[in-house]
Amino acid sequence: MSQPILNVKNLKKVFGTGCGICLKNDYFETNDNICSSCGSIIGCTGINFEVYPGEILGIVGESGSGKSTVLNIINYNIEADSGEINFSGYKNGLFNILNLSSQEKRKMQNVHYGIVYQNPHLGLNFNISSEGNAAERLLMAGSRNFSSIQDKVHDYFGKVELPVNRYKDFPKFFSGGMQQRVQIAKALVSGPSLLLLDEPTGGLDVSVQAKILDLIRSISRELKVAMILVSHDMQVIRLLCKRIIVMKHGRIIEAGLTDRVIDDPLESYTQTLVHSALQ
Amino acid sequence: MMNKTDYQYNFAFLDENTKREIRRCIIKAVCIPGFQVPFASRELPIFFGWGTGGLQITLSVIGKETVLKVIDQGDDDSVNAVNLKRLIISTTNIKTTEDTKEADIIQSRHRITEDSLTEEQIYIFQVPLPEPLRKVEPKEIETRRMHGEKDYGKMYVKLYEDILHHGEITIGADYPALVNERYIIATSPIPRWDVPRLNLSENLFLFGAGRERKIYAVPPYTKVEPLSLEDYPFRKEDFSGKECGICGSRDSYLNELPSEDDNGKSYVCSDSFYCRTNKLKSKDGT
Repeated sequence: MSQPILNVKNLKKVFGTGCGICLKNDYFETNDNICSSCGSIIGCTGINFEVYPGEILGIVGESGSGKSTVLNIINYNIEADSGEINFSGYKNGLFNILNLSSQEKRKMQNVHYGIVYQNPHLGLNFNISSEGNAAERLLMAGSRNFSSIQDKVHDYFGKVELPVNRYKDFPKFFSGGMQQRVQIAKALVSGPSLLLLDEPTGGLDVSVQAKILDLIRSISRELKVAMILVSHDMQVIRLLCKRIIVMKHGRIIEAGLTDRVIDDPLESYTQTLVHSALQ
Repeated sequence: MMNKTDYQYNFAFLDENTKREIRRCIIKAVCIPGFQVPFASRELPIFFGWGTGGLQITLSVIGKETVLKVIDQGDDDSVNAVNLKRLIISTTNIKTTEDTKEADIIQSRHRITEDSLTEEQIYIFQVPLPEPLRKVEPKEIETRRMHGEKDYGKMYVKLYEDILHHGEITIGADYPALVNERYIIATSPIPRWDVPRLNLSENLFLFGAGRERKIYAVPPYTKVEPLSLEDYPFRKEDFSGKECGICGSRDSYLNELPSEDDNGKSYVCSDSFYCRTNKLKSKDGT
């Protein structure tokens, strides 16, 4: 097996002041992730996983289970309390990339990572054109040539099948599905080696959802970009991911091959999750 | 009219501690070219927005022997220039001039004089909006972070959007420029015509924003590059085929005036002193 592109070790994030017994409570007994003594919320703790080149890793779990927290820590939107992430694209993965300077973090965001949010408002600036939105990543990364930037952006807009006559339009005039296409093109335009997808099809109708999923699958096949897909939709996960992680109360409770986890879930929560899905 | 000899104010209106504080800010601004240094902008007998930033710098660096020139859009006799000059004269009793070469300090609203400047001269701008990033980022805390980390991508996105929608960069006056390869500054609101004059200049440029309480500087022989994209370089205003209706100059910044000529437009030099001397010169020549 090749080297992992991303290696996450012991990630921890507590929202709130935190206390000595925060991490010792049995949250599966109280069935929430709020510390009984200090009231802090356990965002995530003891998170360990690897992502390998070209694979799509799924993270599933109910709302508030810490899926997005993990993703946001990786993308530097949230600062972790402790833990280590090694990324093969940064100095051969020898350094903990959580400790980079803010300039280096921004470079990671703009060059090495791409992120697609469920809510396009988080990923796009609605007051500049779609093309400008995608160009922003290249400009942030230091490109200064208009024509070459434009060529690249048009190339990726073609890949995500955005209509040519809408390139200059503002994303606020787009449908939800098209906004997601712009987000995906924006994420890919700088040639990232890791794509972070935070429920990219949440809130879309099923036919548009199918097209976006198709797009993600073809991107994965053609560009060989590694992805982390966060979702609570088991069908989406089953379609795209070979390997998944199940999270609850900020912890990983089960991990394995998608087929194994879905067909033969070990944990009772995973069983509930699998069987709650509409057939 | 106040008698010039019995004014009750300290020399140059401001008290000595205030002047010292402003001079310290100026030194800091010179040390970090393009960095906006906050200062305690004082109340003055003119309103914020009428040149209080430039005036406070002038009042702080002025001496008893200083020869001062004040212009407003290139014009010595415009109302803002005249009033500022009167205030300065009545509290300092110094000599003023309209001759660019003769002046030690030139305070200016929105123009750089056409005549070249020397190492001995200080050029002071009145700046209304010192933050060049404000157009792309409304939050002060965020613009400070962007300056601190040299995170200027958003500024270039603005240029990209301009080119995308209009085929060229549409910023007129107040064209942003990168100073000493580090900080982006708002170039007062001087026209694009004047921006290259900031680059590797012989004189010191000081920028004062009274309302926004910021001072910044472009020291002599400092690199100042107007922002641009590689294939869409910075361009000055184009006055080709036009000339000043008074002095006939073809290489100065021109103001457009309505006229009753056939095309309804006429042009005159923005710099009134330059225009006058140029006219005298051409008269002598003929």
